[in-house]
This record gives sequence, C-alpha cells and structure tokens, in this order.
Amino acid sequence: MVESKPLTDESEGLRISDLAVDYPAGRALDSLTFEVPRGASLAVLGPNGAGKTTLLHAIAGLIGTSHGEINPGAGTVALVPQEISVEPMFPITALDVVRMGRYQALGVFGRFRKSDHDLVAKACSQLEIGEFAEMRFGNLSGGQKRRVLLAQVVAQDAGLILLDEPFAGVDVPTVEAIKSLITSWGSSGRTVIVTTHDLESSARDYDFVAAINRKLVAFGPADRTLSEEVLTTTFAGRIARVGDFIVDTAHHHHGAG
Amino acid sequence: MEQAEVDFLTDPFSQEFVVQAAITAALVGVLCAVVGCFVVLRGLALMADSLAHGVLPGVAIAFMITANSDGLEPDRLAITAGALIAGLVTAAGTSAILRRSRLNADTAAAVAFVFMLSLGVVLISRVEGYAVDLNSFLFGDVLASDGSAAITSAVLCTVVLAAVAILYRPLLLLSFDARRAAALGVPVKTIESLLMVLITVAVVAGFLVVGSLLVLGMLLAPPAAGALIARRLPGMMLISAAIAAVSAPLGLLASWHLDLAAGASIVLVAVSAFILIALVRGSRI
Repeated sequence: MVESKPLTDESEGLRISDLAVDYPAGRALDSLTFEVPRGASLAVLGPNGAGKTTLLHAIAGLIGTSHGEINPGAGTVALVPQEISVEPMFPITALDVVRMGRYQALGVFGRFRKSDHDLVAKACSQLEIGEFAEMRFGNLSGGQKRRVLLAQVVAQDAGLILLDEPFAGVDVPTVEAIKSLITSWGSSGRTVIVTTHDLESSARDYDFVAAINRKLVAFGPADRTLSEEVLTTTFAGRIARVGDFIVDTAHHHHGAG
Repeated sequence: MEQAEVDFLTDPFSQEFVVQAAITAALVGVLCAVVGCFVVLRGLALMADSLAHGVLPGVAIAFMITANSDGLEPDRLAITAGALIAGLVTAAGTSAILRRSRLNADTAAAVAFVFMLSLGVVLISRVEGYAVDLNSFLFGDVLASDGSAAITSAVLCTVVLAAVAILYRPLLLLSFDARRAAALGVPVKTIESLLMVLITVAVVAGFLVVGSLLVLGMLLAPPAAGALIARRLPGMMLISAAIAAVSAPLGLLASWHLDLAAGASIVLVAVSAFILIALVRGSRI
C-alpha cells in the first residue's frame, strides 16, 4: 500500500467563529465557535435536526452562512454524504467514481498523470474495492458504495475530510476500514470531522468532540467532554441510563457514561 | 444479394431529397442522442417534453413575421431562431418557478410548458393559413430538408458535441450527484443552465425533423437503449448515437416502401431498437 503523503502546508486546521446558518424554516445553527488542529479528528454529536449535516454542508461550502466565518485550513475540502441516490442503471463503474476524486485537481481538460493513477490505485487498495472496481456503481451494496465514495475522497487527497454518519448501515469490516482510514488521515496531517450517534466511539476514537443542538453545547478533548450533563443538555432528555451505558433513545446506540 | 433486394435498399436513396433528409435526420439524431444521455441520467424527460412544446409561441411569431399572405413559405431560419428563443424562455421560466416556489421540478416544468403552449395556440389562432403548417409543427417535415438544412444540422451537431466534450467532466459529476459535484468544486448552477441550453438546442433541431410530439423519442429512446448495454457513459453515448444514426435511413426506407410518415417512422425504428435491446437483456435491466 502506498503511504499517504503528509501535507506540507504549515497553515492551521479548521477554524469556525460565530457561525450561524438560516433555513426558510428558521435558524439551523447559531453562534458556533471552535477550532480543530490540523491532523486531528472531531466527532460531532447531536440529536436528529441538531444541525450536524448543516454544519458539514456549511464547511464544504454547499450552503450559504448567515453569520460568522469558516476557515477550512490547508488543502481542499472533501465531503462524503450520508446517502447518495444513484440510479442502478447509471453507466459508471466503481473505478470511475474513484477517479472522479481527481477531477477537481485536474480541471476540465487535465489528463491523468502517473501521480493521479497512483492516488487512484492507492485509494482502491486502501478501501479494498479491487474485486468490484469494474462493476456498475448502482449494482453495489450499500457498504460497497460507501467504500467507493471513501476511496474517492482518498483519491481527492483533501486536507479536510467531512464524513456524514459514515457508520450508519454498514457491516463490521467496513466500520473497521473507515476507522483505520480516519487514523491514517490523522497521521498524514489531514483533519477529519465525523457526524455520529455513537457516543461510546466518540469518547474513545476521536481527538475532539463537539456536542451540538443548533448551538454548541460542549467542545473539547473527547475523553473529558462527554459528561452526563452535556449529553442530557445536547439530547434534550432523550438520553437514558441503562446500567453502565448511556443510550440515545432516538437511535438505540449505546455509549459509556 | 439479389438485384431486387439491392434495389429495395437503394431505390429511395437515388432521390436527392431522401438523401438530404437521411443526412439531416442522422445528424440531428446523433445530436439528440448524445444530449439525451444527460436527459435520461438526470431524469429530465418532462423538462425536455416541456421545452418541445414551449417552442410553439416562438414558431408562431416567426411564422407571422415571415410567412406570406397565404400562410406559405415561412423563413426556416426565422422559425429555428424563434423556436430556440421560446425554448430558452421556457427553460428560464421553469427555473424561475423552481427558485421562487417550493414546487417540484415536474410541476414547475408543466406549468411553464402549459403557459407557453396555450400562448402559442392563441397566437396561431390569429394567423390565417397556419393550419397547414401546424401539422409540420406537430410531426415535423424531414422530407422538406434541403442542403442548407443538412449544413445547419451539421453545424449544430458539431457545436453541441464539442460543448459536451468540453463539459464532459462537470456534466458527469452533476448527473452522478449534484451535491457531490458541488463539493468537488463544480459550479452546479452554471453547468445546469448550460445543460438546459444544450437540451433546448437538441429539442429545436429535433423538432424541425420529427415535430414537437415525437422529438422526445429521439432524445430518450437511443440513450435508454444505450443505458441498458453500456457500463460507462462514453459507451452509452456511442451506442445511442449509433442507434440514432442508423434509425434515420432505416426509418426513411420504411417510410418510402410502406408509404408512412417519415419523421414518425424514424422515431419508431429508434424506439423499436430500445424495445428489442430491452427484450434481449431481459431480467438484467
């Protein structure tokens, strides 16, 4: 496997200051301020409708902001959406989808050079998509599609990677593959932001945690931030203690209290 | 091959007007087939249909300005320009409705097209002699194609294919997933607008050959057949262009020997190719 090339840019990681986002139905995010150092990972926790996906979309520049600033730091920004609805008959192979990751760097006409082919090959190998690389994307299983989209992000070679609920509905090997990918991104200086409902994993597998419910409830080092009080405020009481576990009753995922 | 069989195939094409019609229809067919791939992949069939009917007011105004007092000999170039402008107005109107309301794309397209269609009918009702030409609006008049029609089609085909080649990557990303395309830096709104212009050009070129009712067949049938076979978009485009190019002479051949409407015969061959491929592919569709 080819090792990820560390980003050489010395600029800082993600900086968000006083961010607000409005939808026609009302304010979706308000007064969000936090910083994530380059190469660190952040888990964003919150109930449905808390603005987790809105936050990722704002950082990726897909939606406008009403107030505040977002500085994504070094490199390009990559976003893997929670779901992607592609017609099964769409004529594109898994490999083509991975190759799309290079389009931003190559522009409209740029030809694939050896370095581009190497990045695509590395992405395919890292996500183990070799055996279905030539299959139609639309015919793949949900987990396989998720792997292909993650491989596209690897090929994109972005500095800031945003994953919207990457663990929802995938099998155990894919979960492990995504976790090891997040670790490898961190060690090569890439900043990773993951929205999740997995409280236990948030406290264990990430450098930082942001608990949000339209506003920032808490932000800090993952192992010291998720107090019972923070979780109760974030999830507005939709948290239950069951034995040694805290359960987000809306999603039935469990986590250490 | 027996001489009679050779004659059967070549007889119609000994006539210059049939050859010109075949060349024009094949060029327009290729244009519609390539642009139609994005219509199929982005699910824009109703939008394309809306454009095909939305051209009517432009055609009517061009007719009123250029036709003589008997309602005959309207200027073909003026009709083309009028259709193009009305098509773009329909596309822009649909976008405006979408931006200012929370209606879905189908409803917005339908509202815009019904407005344009009824405006066209009102204008036509003021023009004497249009009834004769209304038939060619609905069903096209491919056999009226002369040398200049073939040249116009060749120019349009070249320009549109060049535009698709230039915009290939953004169009592929947009068709695959608009949000992902935006995240990869594609100016989604601009590319969507350019795609609408390409579809409008294809619709107008196709409408002159097979009419506003059947142009959808040229936009949808060859790409749909291509999608059943190809694993990649370039393959889909090639297969659909090949089906469109072959449908033109085959349709005219059938039209010649069986005394059928020419434009409708061409579309019928293209749709039959889709049905045949769908049947052969069976459960793999």
